[in-house]
Amino acid sequence: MRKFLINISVFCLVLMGFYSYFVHKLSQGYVDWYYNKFTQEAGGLIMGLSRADQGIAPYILEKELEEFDMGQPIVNFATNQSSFGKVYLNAIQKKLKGTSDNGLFILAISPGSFTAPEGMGVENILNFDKKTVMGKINNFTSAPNYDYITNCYAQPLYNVFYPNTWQYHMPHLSGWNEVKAQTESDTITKSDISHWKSLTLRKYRQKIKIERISQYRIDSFVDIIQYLKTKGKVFVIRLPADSDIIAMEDDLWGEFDKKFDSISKKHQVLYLNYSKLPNEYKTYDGSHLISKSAKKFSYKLSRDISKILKGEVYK
Amino acid sequence: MLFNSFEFLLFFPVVVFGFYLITSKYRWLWLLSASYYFYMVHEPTLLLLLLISTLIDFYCGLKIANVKESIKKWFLGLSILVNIGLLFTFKYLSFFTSSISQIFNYFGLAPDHGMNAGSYSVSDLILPIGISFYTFQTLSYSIDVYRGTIVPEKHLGRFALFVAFFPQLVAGPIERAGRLLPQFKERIIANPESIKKGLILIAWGFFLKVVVADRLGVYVDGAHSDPELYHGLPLLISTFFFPLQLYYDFSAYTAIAIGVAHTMGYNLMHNFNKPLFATSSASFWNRWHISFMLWLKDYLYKPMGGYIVKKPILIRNVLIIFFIVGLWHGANWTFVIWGLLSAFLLIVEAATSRIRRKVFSRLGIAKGIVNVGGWIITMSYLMFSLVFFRSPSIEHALLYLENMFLITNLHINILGNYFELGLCFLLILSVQWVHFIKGNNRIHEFVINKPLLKRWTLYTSYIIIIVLFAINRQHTFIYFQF
Repeated sequence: MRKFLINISVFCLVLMGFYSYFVHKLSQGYVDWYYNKFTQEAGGLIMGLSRADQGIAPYILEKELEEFDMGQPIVNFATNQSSFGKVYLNAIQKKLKGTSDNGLFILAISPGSFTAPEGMGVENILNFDKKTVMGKINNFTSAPNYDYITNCYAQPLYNVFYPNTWQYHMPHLSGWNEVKAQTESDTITKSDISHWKSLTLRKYRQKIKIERISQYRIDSFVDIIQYLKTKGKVFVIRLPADSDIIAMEDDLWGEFDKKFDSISKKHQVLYLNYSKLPNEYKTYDGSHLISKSAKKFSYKLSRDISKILKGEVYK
Repeated sequence: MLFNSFEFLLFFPVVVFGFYLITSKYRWLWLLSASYYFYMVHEPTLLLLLLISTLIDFYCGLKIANVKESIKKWFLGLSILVNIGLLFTFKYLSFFTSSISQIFNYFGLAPDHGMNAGSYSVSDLILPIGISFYTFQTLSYSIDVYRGTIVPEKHLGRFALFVAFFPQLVAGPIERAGRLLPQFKERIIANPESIKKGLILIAWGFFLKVVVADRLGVYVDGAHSDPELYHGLPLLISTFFFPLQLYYDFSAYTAIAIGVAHTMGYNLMHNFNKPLFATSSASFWNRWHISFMLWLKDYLYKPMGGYIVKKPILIRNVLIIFFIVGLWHGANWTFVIWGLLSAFLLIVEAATSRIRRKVFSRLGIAKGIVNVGGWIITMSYLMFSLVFFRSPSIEHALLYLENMFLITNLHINILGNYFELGLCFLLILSVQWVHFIKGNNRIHEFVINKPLLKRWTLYTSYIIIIVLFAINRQHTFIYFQF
């Protein structure tokens, strides 16, 4: 029995050692698309879904709003799984520096941030959210973040030997995922982009069939605003996208802008709607801004916020 | 708690060490506490349902054995009513209300609610993990006591452990009281051979789950995520992968469950007997999810007349049984269709068996060829029928099947990774080879009593494969949701 226990202990130790080594090795290089969002405490946050993930560059906001001495670093904390809910609120609370009281908080919204599968009740939405990246981990701030790798990294660890080299995608340490897909490149043509847009439209159409606006998500959004107001300045924004996509969103929820204008007013935050800017910003699939446009939009947003903070507009 | 989670890797050794440190008299208490903890990790409040089921069946069991013949059936009825009532409420109520609502909508008799009101409703009921499994297990106890095939258990703690025994609580095998309860009374001494056997089964189960089943699942999920986008080959490959994913996932769970029980000296039923080598539909259903199919046979099929009934009655009974098989798997019409499709092949097979035998013998076709033909037909039919099982809706399944035969190009690499795709096929061949040689239940023979060098080579290879090739999706086992 003693020999057996020694053997099993050796086996377990080697297994754990080997696993720990490769997890650590992975953490030293590129992990995945979202890893960088979970490796630092934040002074300010950009929140929302994938449109915000790719559309707002924190470094531009930090640079352009330097004079206001707002909490830093600003982290892009938006993912394609972060619909508004208690799980996201909990993640935001854990992500922020405890001392933060002058942070900049951008809440990017679209109808998609407030939907849930038709017929799904509150408890089930909560359980659904717990299975997303925001619900799977408890540690949102450490580097390396082993909690993230062990719970969210869904690839085999042999990838350690083949680090990903992305041609069109640049994950920044601030959490911004820059997508460089442009028609000027050799391999991405206009027809590719139009094909991707048609796929996005079809995906949205499918989503509309099975999802409905959830009051729970709207209530949670209000809770998030109220929490963030205690930590700094909050801005609710709607990012630009292709006019066909925005039209489809408006079909899903015709009163969307009115509703969030009213919620923002009620909670004394500003709602900045950029969704109707006619073709100023380019997307690669109808929904997500390409690198150049994301930077341009980030500058525009910074300038608008700067004016507001100086009291030049919206008085 | 998931078997494939870090919590379980801590929980399991603590439970096994504790088990052997405690005297036999109090082991039931240790295992019962561990089982309740195991269940509560997922959703603490749902333990209440397990307790209700336990108490009612314990009480009914004692009463059935001690009351007059005429009153017995009332207590059996109470047990059935409570268990089926809980199962219906938590698993099927939402499905039935939404189905009725859809019918009313179709005739324009009900308003369409475009917005989730946010208030609590039927849709808020959480499906208690394992309810289909423990409900059937406790029902079999009450029926066996009623039939007089077992005596009722007088020790509430041991009975509660029979209902909640953690290795098989959430996804079976669905045990019988006559097999499991006597084992809880035995004085078990630590036996390294039995523990080794158990650990090897657990290791095999982990490999099947995290290296094979979850890897196949990535491709299947990709194809099912948008059947409108993919045509032809990717959907065909996914149709081929899904039965394998389902089988490896479920047999992984079963291997871990049996292995865990083994480490503590308990023997659980085997659930599989090389089902993917079945040469007929009837043979497949005798080899697949054995504990569940035996349950249906003993408590439904036989009371309905078994095999000694007229053909129309037999067909009706098979359809009823497979309607239940489908519905048991999930509250969705897709499962019902899958169940009925399975019944259809069984019926066709039974109806044509005599003719087929005559034709084959007249044409002089060798048995081996007949078996190969039967295997191809059985597996192909299984794969196509399982498209309904995997699909979230009937429309999705029909679209998937329609697009599957639209071969517009030969692009198969929907994951953008040919290495992973190749690995999937290699792993399938390897696992099928292992199952062919040793079956589902004798995997340990590859390791135990082999020379030291061979054993440690296997252990080392295992560590390398598990660490480097596991897909860390932390997905629940597919059968957890049933």
